[in-house]
Amino acid sequence: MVTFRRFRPDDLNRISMCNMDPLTETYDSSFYLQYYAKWPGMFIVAEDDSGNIVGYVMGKLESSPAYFKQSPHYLPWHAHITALTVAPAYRRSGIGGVLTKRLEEEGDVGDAWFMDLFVRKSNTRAINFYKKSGYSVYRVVKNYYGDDVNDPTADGEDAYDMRKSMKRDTKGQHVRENGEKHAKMRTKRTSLEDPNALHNVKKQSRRNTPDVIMLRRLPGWRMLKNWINAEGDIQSTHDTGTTWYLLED
Amino acid sequence: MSSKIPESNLRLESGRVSHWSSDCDVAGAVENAARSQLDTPADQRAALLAVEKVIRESDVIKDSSTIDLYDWACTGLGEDYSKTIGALRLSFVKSAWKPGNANQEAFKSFYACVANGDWENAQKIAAIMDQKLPSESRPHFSNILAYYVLSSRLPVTDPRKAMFRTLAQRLTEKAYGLRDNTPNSKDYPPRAIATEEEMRLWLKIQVETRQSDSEARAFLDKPECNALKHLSEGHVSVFKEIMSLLEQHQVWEALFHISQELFDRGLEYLIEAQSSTESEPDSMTDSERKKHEAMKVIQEFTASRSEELSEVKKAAEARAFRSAVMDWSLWKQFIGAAVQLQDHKRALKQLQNFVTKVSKSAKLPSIYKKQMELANLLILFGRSQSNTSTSDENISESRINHLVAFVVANYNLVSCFDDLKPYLEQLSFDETKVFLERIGQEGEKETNDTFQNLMLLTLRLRFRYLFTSSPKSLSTSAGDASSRCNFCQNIVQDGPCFSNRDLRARIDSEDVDPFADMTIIGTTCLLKMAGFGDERRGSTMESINLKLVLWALSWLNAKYSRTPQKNQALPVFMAKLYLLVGCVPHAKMLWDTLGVKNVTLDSLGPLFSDRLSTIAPGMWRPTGSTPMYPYHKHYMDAIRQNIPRNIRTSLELGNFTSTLGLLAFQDRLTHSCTMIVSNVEDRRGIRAVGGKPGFDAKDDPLLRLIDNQKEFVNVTDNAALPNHECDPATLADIISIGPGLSDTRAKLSLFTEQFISLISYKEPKDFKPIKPAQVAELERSYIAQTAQSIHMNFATPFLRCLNAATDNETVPVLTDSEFHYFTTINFLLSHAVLATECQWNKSAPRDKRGSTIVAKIAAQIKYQTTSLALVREDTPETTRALCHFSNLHALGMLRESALAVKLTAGFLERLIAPAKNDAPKWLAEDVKALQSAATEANDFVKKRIKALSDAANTSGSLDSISEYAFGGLIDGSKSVNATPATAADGELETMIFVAAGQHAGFENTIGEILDSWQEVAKGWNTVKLD
Repeated sequence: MVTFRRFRPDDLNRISMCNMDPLTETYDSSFYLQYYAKWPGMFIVAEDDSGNIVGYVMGKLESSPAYFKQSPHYLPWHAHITALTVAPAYRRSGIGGVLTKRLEEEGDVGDAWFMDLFVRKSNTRAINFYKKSGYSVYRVVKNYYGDDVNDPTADGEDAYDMRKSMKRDTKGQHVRENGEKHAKMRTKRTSLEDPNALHNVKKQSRRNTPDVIMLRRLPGWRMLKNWINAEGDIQSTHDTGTTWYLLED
Repeated sequence: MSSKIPESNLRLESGRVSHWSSDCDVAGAVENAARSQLDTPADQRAALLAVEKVIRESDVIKDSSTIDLYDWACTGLGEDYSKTIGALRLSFVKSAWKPGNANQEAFKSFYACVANGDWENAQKIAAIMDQKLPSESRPHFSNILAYYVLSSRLPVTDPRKAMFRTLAQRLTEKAYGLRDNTPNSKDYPPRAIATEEEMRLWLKIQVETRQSDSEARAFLDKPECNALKHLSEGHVSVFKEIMSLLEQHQVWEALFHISQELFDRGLEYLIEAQSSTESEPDSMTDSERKKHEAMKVIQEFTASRSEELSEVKKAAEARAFRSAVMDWSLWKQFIGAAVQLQDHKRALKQLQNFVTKVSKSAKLPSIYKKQMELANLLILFGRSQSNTSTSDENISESRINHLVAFVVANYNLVSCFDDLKPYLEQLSFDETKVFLERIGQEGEKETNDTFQNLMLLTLRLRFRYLFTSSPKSLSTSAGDASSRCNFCQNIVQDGPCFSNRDLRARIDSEDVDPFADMTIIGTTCLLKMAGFGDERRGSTMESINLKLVLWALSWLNAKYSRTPQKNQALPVFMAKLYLLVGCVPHAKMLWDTLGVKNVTLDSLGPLFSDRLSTIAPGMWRPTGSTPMYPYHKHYMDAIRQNIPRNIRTSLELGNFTSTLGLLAFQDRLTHSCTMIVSNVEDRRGIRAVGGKPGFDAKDDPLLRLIDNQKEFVNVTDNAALPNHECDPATLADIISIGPGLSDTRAKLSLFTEQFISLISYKEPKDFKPIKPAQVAELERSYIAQTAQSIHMNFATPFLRCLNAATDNETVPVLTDSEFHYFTTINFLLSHAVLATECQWNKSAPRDKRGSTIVAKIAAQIKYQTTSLALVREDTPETTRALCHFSNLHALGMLRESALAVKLTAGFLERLIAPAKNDAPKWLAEDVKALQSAATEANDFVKKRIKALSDAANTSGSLDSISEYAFGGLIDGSKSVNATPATAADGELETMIFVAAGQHAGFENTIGEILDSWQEVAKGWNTVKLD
């Protein structure tokens, strides 16, 4: 049987049942620890009677920076599901539902307008799970993922940006029907071959030009990543050799 | 710290250089920082020397950016932060910082000290900030935290320890009092506890600063610890912590009392939530409806409280109660408390009533339905545990009924076996028999479909294996040395006694695969029959039947290659087994599919990498990247970079429990057995192929952080392996090369590496001292002291091993080969101490203690060599050499022993050389004897490597090993269709042969094994022995 509680760093020693599953990525310690340091209430684990972590959800509370307020893509104060995983041995037992519910409660405590998440368009099992839990598609983000699990030759795979209103959103202003028909614009790609071009990236993002930047492993990539994180309005996903940054304007 | 910091600081400050303190030369700071990036040691240490000068002269650097610059320039020099940069930061905050616009500079100094583990200066800075910023809460709680951390880090002998502890306790008490005396949360003063994180810090400090159990109990009895009050405020984590503390301090009555109130009120909220989303359930019976009516009264009461509770508070309370009432860890605590009460029958009955109420009053998700079923089981087993008449038939029958009902309801869940395992282990032998019979009957019902029956029968098989691994399955009569199996009544000699398209489609659609479970059970039985048991201390080839191991491998391989895997149990199991028989490349191929990396290396890495250098030294190269590089990177990044950075973040955000959690995690990682052993593995591997490790053990950036006095922690996670053994045994005990990681082994390995670094040191060739004799004497004195210190550290864990070797009750922590290796090291250390401490003249007599040391070392080496020659008697001549692949670990440890002896001999020879005429005569004799012992062992290793290489590459190996494993079934003289009359005639052999995919399947497995052996043998050929 499982108990739900906040994450503790030592849990990283007991995540084998979740993370040996090929569908669950194992990251560097900084990834897990930053959630523990910043949003300890939004990193929730399901622990079995032997102390194994059989599921976990990682979430955060954030908004776009103030100067983006005029943008149609401005994200107000909201909660976000970064990762949700349940060990294969414990699937179909309702653990994912409880973890999501707990995170939503934390979202309500944090006074979020809505909870959002990104999911591969091909992951119908997960999409059905979220729909059953009250989420709906808000928009399609083109080529959000750098790879396509079903087609290795494809440039990337689209994601569904799914949302659910939290208690604060009494009028349902932050969700919509037919979100599948709303695609996020993406018109231009910039390949950075020179770290000095980072300044241009910053400039571009401040203009209202939708942008996708393909960044090869360059000496300056860390600087860009930090800058992106500090802005809080950029999603990133990684694959080997190439890093893609999707800038929201 | 990144090089960008000083750059950006300089850019920022460039406009106001004139404001920098003139007494601490800015240009000098910039110059020193620039020099720190140059190649010569003098340049690299220039900044540190400048800092030391500032401190020595009691100067103050009045600009924090200059200190940042020095901080960056001194990174990695191994300086004591608290005496250098930390001291600069304190003097800056003390003398130069003024509250106002520059508050951030003081915080920055505080965070920098914390991130560098300098809590002494951090506390002083926090205290100054707390004093100068009375209207801010962050400095106040930072100060409290610093007092607490410092008190827990100071040695017991330091009088400040008690003082800081008391200060932390008093300040949190005061902060709690300020909160308690302020009715409205909006009016909390800055120094009052306001957030849940501050509340958790208060609780932690209050409990951990109480020194005795009675003091802690008295604290828990105080009104501040009213758990339900905290829950009403929405602080679930505080509530759960108080519950755990009550359990830890065995305050059973209070714990149980809280459970009653929690369930009463929690149930109201559950029903309230239900009724807000749906109308009254149609499926209610009359009695349930009555209960529901009763609950409505309670709901009305709750609703009436809305006047006194704001909507927000009420929502928080409701959320907290709903969460707690379904919390499995709390249920376990409550049931545990009920069992301990005097009137436990009544208490357990009450809890059972709650289970019924919760089950019927609310529409539960499936996970909570299962939770209620397990709660019922726990209560039932609790009742029989507390019942004095254990033979009570009603209870026994009830236990079995509930267990069978659970299996029938949850047979298709992967977790079904693990959920029931702890309860099954408590059954008596008679109960197990009835239980198995009942499950067997359930699995034969014609009303079930094939899949259900197959699953039930597989579960029965798994349960049967579990019972077999329990001592309850065996009985020994007086005067009879052998045991009798209680199930089949047979005498047990060697220890305790497994195409349908629709079915395939059904299995593909389920999370469980009964055939995978059967394969695991079957192969585990084969391994036990082969001689692998939980008391094994290492590879003792004379006791292992390799034929049965080959059967197990071929069965597993056939299952693995035929069907997709539902989980990772099979590949992990196979990877371990392939390692056990020396097939490292194939094991690595399987292991690489599991994605073990980054944070999982600490807990899962040892399943593959432990003792790797001893079986496959060919995986290392003298220079370049090593197999253990990902480990070093993970630990370096986490300990030096990621954790400090996040400690700072958590402090900035006031998440104090995260700060404490991160500090504990950093300490734990620094003393991780995996970290130490992976480091040792690399050292052994690099040495084996003639390379030199990048750092001496004492200079290694990770090893030098270790505090030898602390216990090293093993966090190996065996959950990835299937486990059907009765507690505490695990499958890992059976299929590992030896005992798992331990504090003892990690310490012995670490001290051994320190010793090897000491004796391997050679002066540069161009080092020509003017007074060689004097220098030699100084060197001897240094080595004597260092060796003595290592020997003293080594003695404690080694003594534990000696005791374990003679005491059958103690679980061994080393393989036999490791035990002899460390015994050899112990003698070598003794010898090095005696040789360097002795009187240095030619006729000096040998110390009495040392008269037999060299002979003992030679005896240890001889013993290891002799053990390696043994092979099980019934192994045919044609496959004997191949059997040695299963004993590579022993060969690796012999090689390490021989190398240590050789290095010691070389060291003594160098010691004698500068003052040859004065060296005691006996020392030269010892050097010769040691060299001779090492040469003899190395000759043996060379011969064995050649034999392994020849055996793996001889044509016909595949045929001879196939015939050895399956005899007539391979050469066609026996048919799989002919049913043998008895087991002795080969019934089992035939069944395994079929399960392994017959001729083609088995040859495929053997082919892979041979390929691996060839590659391993090739790797061993790169080992340098001369």
